Amino acid sequence: MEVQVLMSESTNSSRSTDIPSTTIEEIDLDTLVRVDNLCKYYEDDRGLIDWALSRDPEKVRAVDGVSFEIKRGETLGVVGESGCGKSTLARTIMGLHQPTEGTVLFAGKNVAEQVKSDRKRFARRAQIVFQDPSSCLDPRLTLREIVREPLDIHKVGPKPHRNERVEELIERVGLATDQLDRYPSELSGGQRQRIGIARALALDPELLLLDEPTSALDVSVQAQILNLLQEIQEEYNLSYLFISHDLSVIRYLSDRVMVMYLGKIVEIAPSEVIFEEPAHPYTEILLSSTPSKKANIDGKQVRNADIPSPRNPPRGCRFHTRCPVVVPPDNHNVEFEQDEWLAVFDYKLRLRSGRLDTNKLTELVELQDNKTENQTNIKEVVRETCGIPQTLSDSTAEEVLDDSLSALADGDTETALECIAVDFESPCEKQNPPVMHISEGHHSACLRTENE
Amino acid sequence: MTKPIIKVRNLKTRFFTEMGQVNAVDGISFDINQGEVLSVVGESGSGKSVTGLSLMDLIDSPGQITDGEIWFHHPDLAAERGAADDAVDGEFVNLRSLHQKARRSLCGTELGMIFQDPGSAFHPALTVGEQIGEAVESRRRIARGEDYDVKEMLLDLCSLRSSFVSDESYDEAIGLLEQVDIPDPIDRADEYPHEFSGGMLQRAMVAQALASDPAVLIADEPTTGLDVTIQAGIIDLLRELQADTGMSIFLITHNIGVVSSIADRVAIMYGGKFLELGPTDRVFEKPANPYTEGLLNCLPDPTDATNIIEPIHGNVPSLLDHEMPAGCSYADRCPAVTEECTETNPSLQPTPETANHLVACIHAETAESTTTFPVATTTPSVLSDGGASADE
Ligand SMILES: Nc1ncnc2c1ncn2[C@@H]1O[C@H](COP(=O)(O)OP(=O)(O)O)[C@@H](O)[C@H]1O
Ligand code: SF4
Ligand code: SF4
Ligand SMILES: [Mg+2]
Repeated sequence: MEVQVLMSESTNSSRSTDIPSTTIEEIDLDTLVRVDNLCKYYEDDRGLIDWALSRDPEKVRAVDGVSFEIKRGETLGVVGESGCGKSTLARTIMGLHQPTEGTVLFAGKNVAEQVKSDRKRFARRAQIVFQDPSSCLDPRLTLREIVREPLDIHKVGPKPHRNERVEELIERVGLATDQLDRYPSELSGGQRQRIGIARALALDPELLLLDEPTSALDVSVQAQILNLLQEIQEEYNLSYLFISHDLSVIRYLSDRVMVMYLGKIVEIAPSEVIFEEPAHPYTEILLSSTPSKKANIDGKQVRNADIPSPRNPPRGCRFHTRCPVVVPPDNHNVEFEQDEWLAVFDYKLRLRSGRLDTNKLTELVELQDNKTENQTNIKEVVRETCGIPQTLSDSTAEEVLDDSLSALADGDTETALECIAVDFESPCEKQNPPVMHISEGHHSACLRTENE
Repeated sequence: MTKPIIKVRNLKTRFFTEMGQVNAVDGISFDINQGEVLSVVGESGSGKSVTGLSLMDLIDSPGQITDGEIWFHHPDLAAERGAADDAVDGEFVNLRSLHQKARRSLCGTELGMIFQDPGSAFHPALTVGEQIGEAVESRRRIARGEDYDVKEMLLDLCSLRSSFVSDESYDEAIGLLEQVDIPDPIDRADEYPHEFSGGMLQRAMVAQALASDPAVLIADEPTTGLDVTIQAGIIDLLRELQADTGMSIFLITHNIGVVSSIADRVAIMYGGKFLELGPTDRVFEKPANPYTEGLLNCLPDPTDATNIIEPIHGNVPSLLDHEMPAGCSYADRCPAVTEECTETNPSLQPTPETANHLVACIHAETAESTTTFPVATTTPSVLSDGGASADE
């Protein structure tokens, strides 16, 4: 089965998308947004050569099968590294992108269909606020015109009332009405973000999609905006999808938190649970990598600093190329100490990615010979660069490894890989980790969770 | 006992722009000790980067260092010039009294710098290994007494005379890539900057800065814009390098979490001045200046579910000379402001309990009597002891 994350038990039974939307609305009035197996792939055009060779252009799997809900009045925080699909998710929920697969139901209605038939009405109910407000503030318009524009487009109320409404909004977001005739360029970053928020509020939306709204701001200004967001949420009973790469602001605002990695949800839980009892290794690493005034960064780190491309995400668990607790082989042929295993697995990944090139290794051997005047050879150099001990504790494993290293030394990378393909295979490479239910509202997609 | 490697006294750096004179660095005095990580933290436009660039002697028109001294611990050079030289005080040499060439060569070898954007440090058309090799090569040539400055290096770079880099220098570049934990350094040395991820290129830039074996590494927002997982790796790397090489690190950042993870001491910068300076733990646990306290209260704490943040109202101040207040630069935002604050400009004073914890605030409790922090005077002799009075 595809990875599914379903938060509320009541909807577990009703996930099939062909249930008429009205029924869903009746079932769960608390749910404002329901996202079901949502996928958004970008096809980036690889040009003439692809066309000539009739190759499929590669797809960027920006969002790859996510399911979750946003309740009325709640803040769902979304956290993850750059490129994990946070912004694409927000834009697809907004209807700014057509989903490749799956559905977004807003108050029970399919957004993709609404976008076609009744774009304007839908737009009133959900608004998006970006990291860089300048991108959506027309520099030629005054602040008054910017905030008024959505009211004019949607013909909200009689015209004279619109100016009143603009002034009310401007004051609500903490700006003075005597600034209304200024232009965006005359404002500071924080003030521009306030205008972005005022404009988003103009049409009385139910949902705000906040895409890194404070990431470009100084901390003192960020604090102002965070508190403003908190106040207006209560006042207008707004739901937030709050995207940030900063876990400290996520904890401050969110009721629930969803952790994304390469287009997938790896963990979702109430905020308290994510921060106090994280289940997924990736969540743990994000937490231990976030320094604060009180906590240093210390402890768990990723094995490999490079984030894989969503164009060609790793098979099985997408995190297996970086996970510090990647599961050792379960074939019982070989046994490893944990450190040995990680080193050997590292060797395998390097081999697979073509990073161990025999010619280059020969160079390295020569280089080290110069340096240490010791007789070193390719096998030893590889062991050293991957951190593999002189001999593995398990003799079968050692034999397998030695065969592979010999093949590599002979320049035969393919055989080197074949030698270890079966014996050194982690379950995390083969298997898409299923989403495990841990406790009320807490789900995590990791093979280790299953084993616990 | 802590020994300074750099002593900055009353440094003032100005930019003369169309809008008016910008007092980017407005009379700051501090030491960077040997083997320490000193961090400068503050909001944007507070003058952090200009402070770093001033140390590197990289201020260009319309900017200028208009006042102050930068004393560098360099016994060899000091001995060579002799004690009678105005630019010499004991084992220290005042960078600002040296001729441009001597200054640039000193800054280029004794100081290394890394920036937020590693892309700007690398030429897109040359491999990373060649470029780090260049830096190694130029250090070797300078060590051999060859006249090889930045200009010639740029010429070499532009003419793509990659053969200029000797094999030994190239090999050393590979060693440096290895030192900054770049996997498969031989392969990577052969790649172009665009083939590196942001975090890897940041590491490569560190390697390039290490090529001259600097005594002080100036790091300006080295982790800003990186993902937290990558940031954690860079912080670890800097910590390790600091411990292995014994160099000092001058870390410029706006991220308080980064500061608390790595810095021994921290300076809080605001409006071109230091408002507080002291051991990191001390400053964060018992902030003495209202701005420091405000800044800490602005930060949500990811380890605490119940914390409430209290924003500082208003905006970061202008550094335009004609817009700067006569008194404390924080006066218009400070919750503890009084009339006196708008008239008198506070200078850094020791706090009562901890002598190396300094605060600039009229209403902060400070140790009575004289300043023990040596602020600038015209005579360098005062550097070694305390007892100078405040400037202005
Ligand atoms: N090249 C320049 N020309 C004019 N003004 C500059 C220049 N570089 C910096 N400044 C000004 O100096 C002040 C301090 O800037 P900076 O040191 O970059 O602050 P920070 O690093 O703390 O964000 C700002 O007001 C900035 O506009
Ligand atoms: S499934 Fe395996 S690789 Fe993925 S997070 Fe769990 S242990 Fe790590
Ligand atoms: S001197 Fe006055 S305005 Fe400045 S920080 Fe102290 S109390 Fe605040
Ligand atoms: Mg800066």
